[in-house]
Amino acid sequence: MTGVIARCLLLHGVVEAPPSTGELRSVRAGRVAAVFDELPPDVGDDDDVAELARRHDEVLRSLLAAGPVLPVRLGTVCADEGQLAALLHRGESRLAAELARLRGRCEWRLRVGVSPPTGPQSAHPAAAPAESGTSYLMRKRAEQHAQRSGPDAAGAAFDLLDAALQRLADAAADAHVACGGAVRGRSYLVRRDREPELEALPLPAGAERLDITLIGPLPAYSFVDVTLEVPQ
Amino acid sequence: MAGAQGMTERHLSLPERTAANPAIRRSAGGESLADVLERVLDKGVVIVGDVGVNVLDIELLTLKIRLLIASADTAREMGIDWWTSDPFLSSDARRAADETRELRDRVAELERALGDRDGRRQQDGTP
Repeated sequence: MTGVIARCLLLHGVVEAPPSTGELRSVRAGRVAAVFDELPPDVGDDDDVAELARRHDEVLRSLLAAGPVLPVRLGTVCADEGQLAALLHRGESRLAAELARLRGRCEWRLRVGVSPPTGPQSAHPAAAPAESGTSYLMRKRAEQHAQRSGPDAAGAAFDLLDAALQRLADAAADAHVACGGAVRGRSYLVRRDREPELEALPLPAGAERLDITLIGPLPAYSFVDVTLEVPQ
Repeated sequence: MAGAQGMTERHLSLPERTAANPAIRRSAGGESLADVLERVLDKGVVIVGDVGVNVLDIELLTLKIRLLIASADTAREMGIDWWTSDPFLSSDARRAADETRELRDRVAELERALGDRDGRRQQDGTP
């Protein structure tokens, strides 16, 4: 789907002060500033949308280095700087309060899943050395046992790490994960001065068979609940 | 579009493992489009209104990815489950495809072995 769009400003986020780097454009209103990009005129196909999503995330993560940032929902546009300034003036108190709440904090995302099988048996069967029927059946039984026990180990590992992260986080929120039921995820709002404690998380049993990732620091995507209404 | 400047050292493009717990992989989060969409879609300040403020029709363009990320269970309940039989997207489908291939290879191996044995018997004159 493509369409011709008149001049439009694609909003990324709201911060306490305009960014110091010249590449990012912003509009200021009192105690807050909105950061945006001007949309190209023919955006609309899948590749453009993917690029917009990456750019949105990249800008927000770069803003996080300078202070708190409120992500604006991906795809929100304004007609011009004047409309954007009016919107910010209207929501200044609410936005400033939310930024103050997030100051010195960022989001970390935990993801725990079962690692894909590795080793010679995972190669193409035709390349594996010849084996008897008995050894073939025994190997298949071992693989099936590993597949059944993998999700249990992942669940136990997630519970262990989740408990540790909830103890040091200010808040937690469930995270949708992109890999289906075998992967669990959760987001945590963590104070920056407690981030060194992330180095001391417990070691789950069977971790060598699991895929455990801690993603961050991120803007507080999962911990922002603000709705602004444009006056009619 | 040009990349954003002013990125800090912590925004690494490669995963690293924590010194204290090597089982946990650390990531700055920019590894795949799925990872990015997982955290940015439907998140953040919502602006609602009339003139000049609209949300791009991203939902339609990224429908497939959103189904994967948002609620696979809800989609299944609605009868939308095209990914479960796609080996690229489903581990179950991938396992089934792998097992089918292994079984076919095993049958072919056995057939070859039987063929070789029958050939040797004919040469030896044994029944």
